[in-house]
Amino acid sequence: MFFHVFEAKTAEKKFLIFLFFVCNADMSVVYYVQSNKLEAERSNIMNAQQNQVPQNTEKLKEIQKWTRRYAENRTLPFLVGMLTFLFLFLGTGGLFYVAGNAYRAGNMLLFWVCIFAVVLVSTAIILAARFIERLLYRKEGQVTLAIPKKTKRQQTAGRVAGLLFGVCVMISIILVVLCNIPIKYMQPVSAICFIPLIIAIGIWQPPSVNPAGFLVWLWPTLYVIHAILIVAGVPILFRKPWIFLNMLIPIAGYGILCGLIGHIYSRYALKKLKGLTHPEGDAANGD
Amino acid sequence: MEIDKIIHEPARLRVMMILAGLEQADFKFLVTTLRLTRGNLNRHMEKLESAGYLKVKRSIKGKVRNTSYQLTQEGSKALAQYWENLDAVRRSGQP
Repeated sequence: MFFHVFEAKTAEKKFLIFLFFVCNADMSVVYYVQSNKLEAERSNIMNAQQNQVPQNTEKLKEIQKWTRRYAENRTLPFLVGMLTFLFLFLGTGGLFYVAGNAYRAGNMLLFWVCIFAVVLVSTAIILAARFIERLLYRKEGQVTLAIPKKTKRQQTAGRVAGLLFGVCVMISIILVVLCNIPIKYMQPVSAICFIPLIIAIGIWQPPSVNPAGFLVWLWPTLYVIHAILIVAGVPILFRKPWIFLNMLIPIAGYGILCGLIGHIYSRYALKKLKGLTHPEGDAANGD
Repeated sequence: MEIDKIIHEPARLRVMMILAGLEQADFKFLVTTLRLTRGNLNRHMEKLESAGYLKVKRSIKGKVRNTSYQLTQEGSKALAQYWENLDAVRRSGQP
């Protein structure tokens, strides 16, 4: 049949064509045998990989720890929140000052313009903050931290801290309103409220359990240290017209500082995590 | 002592370890952290999901589809058991 297709006329041609088909068939057999052999080898490699006990188990066990540390320190939303607060304070503060002066001078048109501008600026800042928040971690993806179940001791500590916080707020209000505390002591008085907070954090998240948790401590601790320095008479107080900085720096300044430290630590944790999750390069890519 | 073959695969073990440290993580985070191809990771996630080790949450954020994964209780137990068995194997010096 094949000879008819090629219209072979001579015996030599017929023989050559016959030889061609024989060789081709032989090559097919060789290819079939080799591919089977390759498949078997690949299967053996995969089985060996599956049955292999990983040598770097300690490193693999660290993945969980560094994932948690990374997730705990994703402080960019907190930083955006702090900057929003700062911009709102600065943006609306000036406008309110102008509005107050206009009201006292009887210039109602300027007063209403300023009030309208306050609403406009506040809305713009809040919308911008939401937009920025949506863009954050877009490339890295989203993670949510698991909140461990609280023990009875921790639950009790939380309730006591909440109660103490309420008492401290009341004390600070009484001190400011009734005892006529000078404005320079406003920050130290407000710092009283942070003490139960620090105690509660200490019970909920002790540094021995989670060393990265120190960042949660940092902000209230800096706030309290600032208050102690003021009471001790260290000249760190701002005078008029910068008196508002006496509250703004401990709240927003230390907040932004802690947020930045947290962000830098999260970068470090992510780098560590990526190093642990693909130490063998493409080896982990195969199934 | 049986080592869980589903968890024992290197990429799946890393996925399980990442999810063990979190409440949930989305596909984007896993794909960038593990440096796997999307298709490859998808296959691993399907295997883990069919084994009952993962819970999948699909949602739409804005105009983008988002898939989040969470370790199930069964998955956490299986992972703990896996490490226990593996440590035992290592101690006994078996291959």
